[in-house]
Amino acid sequence: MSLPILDRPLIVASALVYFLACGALGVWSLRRTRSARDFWVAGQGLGVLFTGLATMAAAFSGFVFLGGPGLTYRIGLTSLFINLSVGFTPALLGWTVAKRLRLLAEVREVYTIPDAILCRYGSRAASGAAAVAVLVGSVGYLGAQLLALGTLIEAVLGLRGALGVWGFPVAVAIGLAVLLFYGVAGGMMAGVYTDVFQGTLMLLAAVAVFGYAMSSGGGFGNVVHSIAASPRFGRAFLEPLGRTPALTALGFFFVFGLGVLGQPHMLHKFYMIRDPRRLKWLPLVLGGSQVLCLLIWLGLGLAVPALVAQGKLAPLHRPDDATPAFLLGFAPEPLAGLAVAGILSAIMSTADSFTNLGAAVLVRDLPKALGRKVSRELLWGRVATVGVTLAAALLAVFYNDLIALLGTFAFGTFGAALAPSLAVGLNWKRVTATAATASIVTGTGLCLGLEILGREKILPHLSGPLPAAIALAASLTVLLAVSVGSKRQALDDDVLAVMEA
Amino acid sequence: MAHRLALILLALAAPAALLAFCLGWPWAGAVTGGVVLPLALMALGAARRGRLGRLWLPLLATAFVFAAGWWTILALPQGGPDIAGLPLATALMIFVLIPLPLVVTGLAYALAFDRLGLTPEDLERVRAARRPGTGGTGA
Repeated sequence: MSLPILDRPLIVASALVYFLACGALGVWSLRRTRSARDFWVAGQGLGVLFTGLATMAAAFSGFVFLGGPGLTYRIGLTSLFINLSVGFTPALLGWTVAKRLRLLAEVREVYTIPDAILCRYGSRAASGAAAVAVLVGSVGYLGAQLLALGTLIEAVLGLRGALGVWGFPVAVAIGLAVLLFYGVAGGMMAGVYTDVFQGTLMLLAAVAVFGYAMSSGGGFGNVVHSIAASPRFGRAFLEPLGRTPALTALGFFFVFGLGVLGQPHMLHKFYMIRDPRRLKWLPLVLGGSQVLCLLIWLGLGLAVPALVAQGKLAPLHRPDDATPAFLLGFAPEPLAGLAVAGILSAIMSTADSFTNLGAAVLVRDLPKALGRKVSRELLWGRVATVGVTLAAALLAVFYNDLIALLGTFAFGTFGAALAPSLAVGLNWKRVTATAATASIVTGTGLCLGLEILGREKILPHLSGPLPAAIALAASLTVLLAVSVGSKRQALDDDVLAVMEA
Repeated sequence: MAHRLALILLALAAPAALLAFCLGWPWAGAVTGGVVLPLALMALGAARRGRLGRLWLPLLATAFVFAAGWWTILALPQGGPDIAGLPLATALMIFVLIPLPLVVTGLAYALAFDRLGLTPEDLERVRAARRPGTGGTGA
């Protein structure tokens, strides 16, 4: 499957052009950055199209472009339960959190999600708990991006053939170096404008790869027929619950459908829109771009097993190799180049958001929660970026499972910890700081604890999305119960005005 | 009324979803986590002064589509008969459960935004509530 680098110069050239374009955008953005507000929330100057594309680019990562087809190769079309909620989540985000978060930024200095928690609840404990949750989730999400980057680099450079079992760790190390350079030197400056550029590339790559993947398999009808007729995959591959228990499928839907309300890398983009009334079109822009991007998941998720079933591709050693196997083995070089640039965009735009968020937690949110201020914030921000990325690299090397499953854990941690106190707390005045703190601690602790118990086979039935699903349901229950049971809390006038708007 | 109903639904469905995931009850999980909780959260966020106005119709329609979808997925053995080469339940997921709610809820959100989302008067009230020195960006 791996090809020598010199045989595919256009792919390497595409990657280089991509990094040059990101670098140029970074320099251009840096010249426009004059204040903290410019740096953290792009000066609150974005239109709805840019906000929608940037949100999509931050949300969709290596998880979608490499992890999705890999997960589908392993569990069949049950993987689509992750995407099933995309039909209503853009409007759900709009109704519950987007408007209120943007309005909070009208009345207070709000740049991060722990900032918003601090404003809403006036509690440093709640804000500190949210910061810890963001840190845990950021390391997990960055780990998933490094897994994806390592898989891509290992395939494109042919490292598995050259280095054997050391191929993957070396590929992750190269990915780590790229990510660190991008995060410390370029990504922090580039910010949201590269997200928009990357989002556009992702859309182009996803649509083009979907079309070519279907035609490689002989058209949609032939693709599904080959899979159904194959002894290796069979019709069960195409059934919603053919290879996975119903509760796991439901868990994917639940975690990604409701957990979306706690994703800091997406919510953070809502602060950036220039005019809060332009939020009107956000769900259609965001949802439309997400659906187009998900074509790559469906296209490669079906085409790769079909090609294996037709005998045109050897069975995959690792499911996560599905995307590189197709691009290097079947796609014409210009398309493979575009796709590699699209995948790099998906990985880098998300990784960029998380290096930013992780560093912000360590130098801004946690010290603020402890009533302290870090001097030389920029220097320590860069040190924090390195620390968070190294922790993520260790996780990527030792996780030993699919990209999509690590992504699910990270997404689930954010969802379980933050979704209830944001989605309910910004829409119900009765939610108290004690309830929010208890909910955030419950969500983070349960998600992490159950994931470890499941992985260590102490509770072996807790796998895939189930730890996060249980943690999210528990966190929501705790928020409601403690709110009703605790003493009413007075709200500041400006926060009250935001909640009543 | 709608706001209160949404809170009641949340209070009932959240612990029920927790039980369903802990005890392995897919049908209860589908009803609570797959239909009621998403609907209740949308209604909670969309309600203005406790009411949903005409938004109740697209929200209920979306909940109905998901309820029918979950019933089809869980009740049909092997996903049902083939439609365009895919089992019926899979075809429903790809061609109905993703695009239809996207269009219905996306359009409902946009069309109701000027009355039930954020009016210019709402925005003025929020900006007027801004206190000096708190760092907000309101004009």
